[in-house]
Amino acid sequence: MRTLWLRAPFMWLRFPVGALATLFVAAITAMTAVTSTAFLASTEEGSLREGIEPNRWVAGYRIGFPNYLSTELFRQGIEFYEAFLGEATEFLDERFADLPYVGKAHLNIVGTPMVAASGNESINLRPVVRTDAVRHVTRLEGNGTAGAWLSDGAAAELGVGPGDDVELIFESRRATIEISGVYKHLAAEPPRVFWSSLSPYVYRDPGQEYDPPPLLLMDLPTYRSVLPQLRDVGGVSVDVPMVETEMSLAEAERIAATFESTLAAVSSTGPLAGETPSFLFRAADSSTSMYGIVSSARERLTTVTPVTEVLSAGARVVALALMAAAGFFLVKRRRTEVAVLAARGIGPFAQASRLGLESLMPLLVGSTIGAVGGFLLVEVLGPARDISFGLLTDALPDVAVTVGAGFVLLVLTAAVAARREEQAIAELPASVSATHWLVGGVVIAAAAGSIAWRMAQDVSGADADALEDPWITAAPVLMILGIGFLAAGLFRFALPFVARVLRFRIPPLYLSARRLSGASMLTQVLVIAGVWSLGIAIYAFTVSASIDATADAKSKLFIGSDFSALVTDVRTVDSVDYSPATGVVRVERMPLNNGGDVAILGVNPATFADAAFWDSSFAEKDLHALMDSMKGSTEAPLKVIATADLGPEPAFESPSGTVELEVVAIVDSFPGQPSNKDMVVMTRGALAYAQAEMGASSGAARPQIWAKGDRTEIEAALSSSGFSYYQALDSETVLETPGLQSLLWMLGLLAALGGAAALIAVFGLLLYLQARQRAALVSSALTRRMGMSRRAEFVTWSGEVAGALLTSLLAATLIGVQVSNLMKDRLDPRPELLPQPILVVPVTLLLGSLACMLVLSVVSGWRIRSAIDRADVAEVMRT
Amino acid sequence: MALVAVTEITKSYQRGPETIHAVRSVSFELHSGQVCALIGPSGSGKSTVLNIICGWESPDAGTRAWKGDKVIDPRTLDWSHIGLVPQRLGLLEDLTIAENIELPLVLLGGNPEDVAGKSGEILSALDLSGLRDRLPAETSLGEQQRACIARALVAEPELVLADEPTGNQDHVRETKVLARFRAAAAGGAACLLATHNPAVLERCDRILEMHDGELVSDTQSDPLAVARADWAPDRTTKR
Repeated sequence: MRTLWLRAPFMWLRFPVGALATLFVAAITAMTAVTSTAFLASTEEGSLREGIEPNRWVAGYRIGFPNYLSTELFRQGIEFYEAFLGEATEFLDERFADLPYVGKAHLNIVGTPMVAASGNESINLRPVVRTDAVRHVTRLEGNGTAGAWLSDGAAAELGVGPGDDVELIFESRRATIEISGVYKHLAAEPPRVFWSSLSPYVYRDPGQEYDPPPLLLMDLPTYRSVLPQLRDVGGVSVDVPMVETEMSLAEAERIAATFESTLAAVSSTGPLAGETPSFLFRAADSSTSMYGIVSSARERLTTVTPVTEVLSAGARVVALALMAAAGFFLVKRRRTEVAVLAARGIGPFAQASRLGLESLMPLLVGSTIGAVGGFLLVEVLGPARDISFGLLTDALPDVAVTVGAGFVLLVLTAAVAARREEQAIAELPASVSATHWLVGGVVIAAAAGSIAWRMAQDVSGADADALEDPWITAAPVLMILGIGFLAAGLFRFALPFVARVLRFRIPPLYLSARRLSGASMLTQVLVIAGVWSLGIAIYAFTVSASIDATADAKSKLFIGSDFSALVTDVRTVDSVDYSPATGVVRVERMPLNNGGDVAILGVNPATFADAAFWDSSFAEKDLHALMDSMKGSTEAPLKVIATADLGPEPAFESPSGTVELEVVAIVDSFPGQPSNKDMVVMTRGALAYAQAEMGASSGAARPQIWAKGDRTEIEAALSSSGFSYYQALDSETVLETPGLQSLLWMLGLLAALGGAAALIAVFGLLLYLQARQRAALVSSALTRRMGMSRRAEFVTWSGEVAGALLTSLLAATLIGVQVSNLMKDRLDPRPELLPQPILVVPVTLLLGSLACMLVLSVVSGWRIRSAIDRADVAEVMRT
Repeated sequence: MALVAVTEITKSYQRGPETIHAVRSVSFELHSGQVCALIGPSGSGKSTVLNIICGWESPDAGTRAWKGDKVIDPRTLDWSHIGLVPQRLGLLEDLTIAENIELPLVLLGGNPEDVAGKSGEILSALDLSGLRDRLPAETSLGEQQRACIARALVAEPELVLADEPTGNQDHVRETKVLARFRAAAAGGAACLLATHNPAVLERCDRILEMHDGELVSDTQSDPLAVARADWAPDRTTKR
């Protein structure tokens, strides 16, 4: 007996199937313990990255000093002024020296626009000093980065190049500088984040008629050399960028707090403190979006945490159930040995403890794999691109507790199973009756379904609500579990009928069906686990794809296309150097003769259909046909398209006039349609006519450009052709609320957990079916002697595996998609916007899963048949 | 022509340093219409001979022939003409007794009425009608054995190989089982029964005796004695 115990920790080498099963189950248990910690950390880092990455300078710190400060300091002497410039950057560098992820201070001196002259030519330009400026432009001529650099347009106008002198004239004062190089005009290139602090001096403001004067970029020594002559001290600011976008919330909070306290410190410990009156610094203005980014990340974390914890708890329950099943499985595999030892007086608990000892090594290895795997899963799929490996060590106590609990359960169920063997009860009913599964399934599914149904009806529209309520995640998961039980019951109920149908038609598949219908409880549990986990994964993928598609459709419908921007004159759009693009005119309200009012959209029928967002569900006719139906209408009755019935003989009506309308089509939705008002669509010519007739009664017109394609490409094309626009929107960002992002991340985690659990369940099922190989050898030895061919044998074993796997997949697909259909309305990110939530079924994923399962079935069948071919049948029949 | 002919078949096993000669140069033929008993003490090689004939083992030397054709690769043989009753029985645990019995007919592509008719008849003959819908695990060993015999005979094979077919039967059912083997032989089958049971010997046309791997005798039974045993199944006999 002592030998048994001493050998126990190494016995897993002799029973690899049991060891593998334990390893897999321990892996998923550890994975569930790690993923929630890692996901929350990833959410934290991802939220921060989202806020910082678009503009590291805006997220960083900027302090701008008032002009009178510079003037005062310069008045005290140029050395004093120079000292201030140096100390301003040093002050911030020292202040932020201990902060991680914060870059060095960049000095900015923005001069007053002045004249630059060369020969008979002269232009206006603005001298600017910015640390590292020339490293962040496209250098066309000149070497290095020192000296004074002119934009290509300005250089061409003045007829100068590197080495030429240019005279600067400010008021009546003059200075001469040598041009060191020529760079590409910044406004002629896609915007660079580096220049965002000085964007008002680079890009035209909305409503401005002219571009800002080109910048003369100077390094500090060059600026210093002309300062005594020109005496233009400029506006001084210093900004500090964030150089890293991924950090923990604690780190970000520390950075934000330091930023916040810096402004207060400027007047007491800032540049030249003590040497100058502090009142000169009190008017310094500081800006950073870091505090807002941190608040937003904290809020998102608060929102996501309850749901993550619910998911994690649910996943742990599943994992612990699998651990318990593993205990039962281990005893079943060695029932003869257990029976013999029981006969020698070794009690069930001792037997179970011995099996537990045997399982320790696979448990440890599996836990390690699962913990690392869970961490990597979140790193790959989570919101943050990179999470600290230290999180893994933080999660270790949690892993130890969860796996430890699983180990205890494993030993307990093994003890129960050993006790039953001792009492010579063959096993738990070889097949828990279909009735039990059906009843259990109905109860759970009904309970969860009623909750889900109630929530689906109660569409409040606040996306934060959807996440704060853990039931929004728990109810569908429970419902899927319940329906999974139902599916198992139906599976067992239907199989005998299937077997009877197949019996004389396809005998090998008849045998498959009969074996499955008599499947042990462990097989049924594995099938249910497969249905449940696959169902969760499919539900999560379907809902997230649907929410993504819905949000995309809503945003495109809201703004009209992929990209929209305001323009000064809509006619300029007709000749824009980008396609597909179209010019539209929006009017917020136009009064109708029925007492109501509508929004108006004036379109160019020639280009609108190609550039606007359209879905076939919006109307019976396609957009091209609708545009054709309005063409040529420039006088009353104006041909229009309406999003609602305008009544008999509709017309715009006001004290100024009446314009009859002819409604050529009524549509369900139309691009650009406001959420709170019906809309009438007409040609721009018709709109101009209506506005002329209606006078001041019509609302203000807003001309826009709509374009399809990638925003970056569109803006690059527009900028390069000098096209002016402002207040640009794109469909990707307009609905990106923190709530929506968090929801999509949560669904991603749910899908990942479901997918991982499904993989484990599928492999568990395959392992178990492989473990039945020995029984397969005996039955195959005989069926071969009854006339069953090798090919038929392959069909029967593949059929059994395929039956179990494909049943799981089919049930999971039906359940997952239906539950998604039920829940999608509740998860609508903006229910007040059209269109209604769209259901998108991840067909590629499903077909891929189906293909994988078919391959698994074929490989399993081939492996079993190969084992049968190689087996020593006589030996098998003897033992 | 013999249905089955084994010629000088030899089979040995290695158990560590020891070589066990299970079968040593055994030769005999089986003819249609015969019920042959293969007797001998435990370990004399009876089961090995049956395994070699049915293709579960390959001899180290010697040949086996089926209807005059030498059997090279058992996988190419049409096994639908052979009924097997292994010692381990081997009923499929997921199929009912009736389904197990009908399986050979189903695999051979029989039609439902034919299958039902044949299985019904043999179930009744072997006192299994009341057990048709039970799973093997729900029946006794004797009942499982009779089901295995029924399965072997239902497709009217040309050759029946049975290893201890009456080991778990009472006297009455033993008689019924042997009657079925006799009926099969009467229908043209050759039956080879490995057995210890004297009652079986009385109903066999021929007795092959093995000892220590060798065939030591091949005796034809007295047909009258066999016939008497057939017609007086309740008579206790002594040899």
